[in-house]
Amino acid sequence: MSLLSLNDVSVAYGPNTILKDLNLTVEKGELLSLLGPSGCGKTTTLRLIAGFLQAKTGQFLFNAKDYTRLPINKRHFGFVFQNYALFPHLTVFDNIAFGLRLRKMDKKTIEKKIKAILQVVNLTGFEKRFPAELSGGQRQRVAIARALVIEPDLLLFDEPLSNLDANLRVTMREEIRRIQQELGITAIYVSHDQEECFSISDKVAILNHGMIEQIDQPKKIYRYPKSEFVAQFIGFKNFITCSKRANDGNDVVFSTAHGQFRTTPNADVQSETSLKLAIRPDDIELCAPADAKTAGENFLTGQIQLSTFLGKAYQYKVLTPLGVFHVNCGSETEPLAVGTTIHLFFPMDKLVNVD
Amino acid sequence: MKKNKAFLFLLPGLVFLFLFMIIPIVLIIRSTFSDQGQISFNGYMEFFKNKYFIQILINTLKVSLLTTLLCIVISLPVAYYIAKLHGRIKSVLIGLSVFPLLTSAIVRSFSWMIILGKKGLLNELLLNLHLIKEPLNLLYTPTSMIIGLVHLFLPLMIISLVGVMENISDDLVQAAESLGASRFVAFRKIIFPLCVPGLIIGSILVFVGSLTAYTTPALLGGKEQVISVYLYQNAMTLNDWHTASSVATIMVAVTFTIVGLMNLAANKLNSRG
Repeated sequence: MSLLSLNDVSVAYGPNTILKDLNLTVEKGELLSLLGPSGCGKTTTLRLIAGFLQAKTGQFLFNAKDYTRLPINKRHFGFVFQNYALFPHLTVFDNIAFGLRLRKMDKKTIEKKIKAILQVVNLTGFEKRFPAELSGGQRQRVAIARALVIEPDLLLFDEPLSNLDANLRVTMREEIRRIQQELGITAIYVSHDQEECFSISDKVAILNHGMIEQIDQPKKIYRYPKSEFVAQFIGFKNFITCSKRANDGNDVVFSTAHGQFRTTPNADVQSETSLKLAIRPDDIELCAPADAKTAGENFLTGQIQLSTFLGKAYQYKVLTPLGVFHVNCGSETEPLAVGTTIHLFFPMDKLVNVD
Repeated sequence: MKKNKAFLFLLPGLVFLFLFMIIPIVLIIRSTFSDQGQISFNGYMEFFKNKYFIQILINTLKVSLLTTLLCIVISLPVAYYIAKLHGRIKSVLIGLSVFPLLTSAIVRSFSWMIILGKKGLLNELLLNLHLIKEPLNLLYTPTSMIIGLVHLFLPLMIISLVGVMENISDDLVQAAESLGASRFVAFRKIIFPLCVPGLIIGSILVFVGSLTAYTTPALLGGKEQVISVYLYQNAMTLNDWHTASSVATIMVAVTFTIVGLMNLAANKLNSRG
């Protein structure tokens, strides 16, 4: 039995359906990320779990109890907001003490708990400051401490790092992961940043138009995206639409008008009829025209249309008979000129079959 | 332009205020401390020995205080509702709540006379509904005066509160609720303290307004006297400008004291850094 499960949950604002028959389970001690473009329903899902909004249909079970209509303040979940939502008229101490005082704890226990939690978030000595006197990162840590100190059954993060600068984001996400693991707390984390989600989660759910496209371990999603949408979202820029597929031993061979492509089957793709292949710009290799390793397969010739310097690599936009491909090449060599004819090799283990 | 020349912009306003406000006030206050060319406090001494005057002063303070409290109680939910709205409906509701300020005080007071009179709308209604047996004596009482004043000054309180409430994010209430607070506790511990600045400004406007209002208490108050009406009678009917000046000075002193106390309370209640 999972700790949390959403069963066929739907949410609608007027005529707009935000979530459609969503099913989701979270195990105890797990950190699950909800990832997707804006408007995909990830924040709605989180707010539904928090109780800030109500499901139109469906059921929300937590610890085998029905939480669907339970008021927010009876749920005992911690919520960390994108804009921190610290109480501006209270000090750091009083902000963190807010939940404890509502639980009628005595003064000494409260002081002890706050001291301990400030140590966890590295803010010892900031008790008397007001939120306005803290930096963004410090405010976010107060917000996390405030949500953590009540020892919630579930911790919910709503894009907690999107208001911070790039370096701080990396530090803070490591902090969040450390704290979550240290306290063994179950957490759901919403973000639109793929790297952020992949780096801290046990599991990632990718949402699109109010439905879960794929839910799995980050490394599995990264390697084997299930659908074209997921692939696109996590950085596969190149897609090949084939006309036919055939099994060849353990491999699958896809045919196009301009050559064959060999790959291994994608276990997550249900339909045996899927004719789409995807590959990342980093994974396409340049090769000589008659390279032995191609053996006539996984091979295309094209002309460079555009060259962009990305820092660690040059990205070439290459026009081939099968359409435009984006290819990244190391920046240590001189860039190739626009108009150059090049040969592209698609390594079999990097080419993925998607729905 | 150099910074130290910028004060020149203030000059027209300052000259105007100095000539037509500061000097008259100083003259009035000075006149209250003199008796036939000699410095004396007799005017004030007599005043505070006068039970009738003390009664009027207490009545006025009571009416103003009640008006302010009623305005706060009525405005808090209204302002909260308006602050959470968006777009056109919000402008319409703000416009509607300001409406009383746009009508003449005399018209407004006469309307209340029609409603509150012995044979007025309200009494007729209550009698017909058999809720009362005898018509209520509402008009020309402190009640009618307070109703008129609340009606007049409610917009000031609503506008002040909407101003602060608009800036309180919904997330704060949700944060409080997620930490275990009920709606009511969230309002009391988060929304209310954050409203204090607007509450103080609104209270000062309403309190000082009620303290100095003339038309509404004069028309609706009947025999019940307030300080502004007493001042008017002394000056205009009895032609006793000396007493009238003393009353005016006392009103200024009371106003300043109240505003000072409220500011003090505001600093106590709202101690954010």
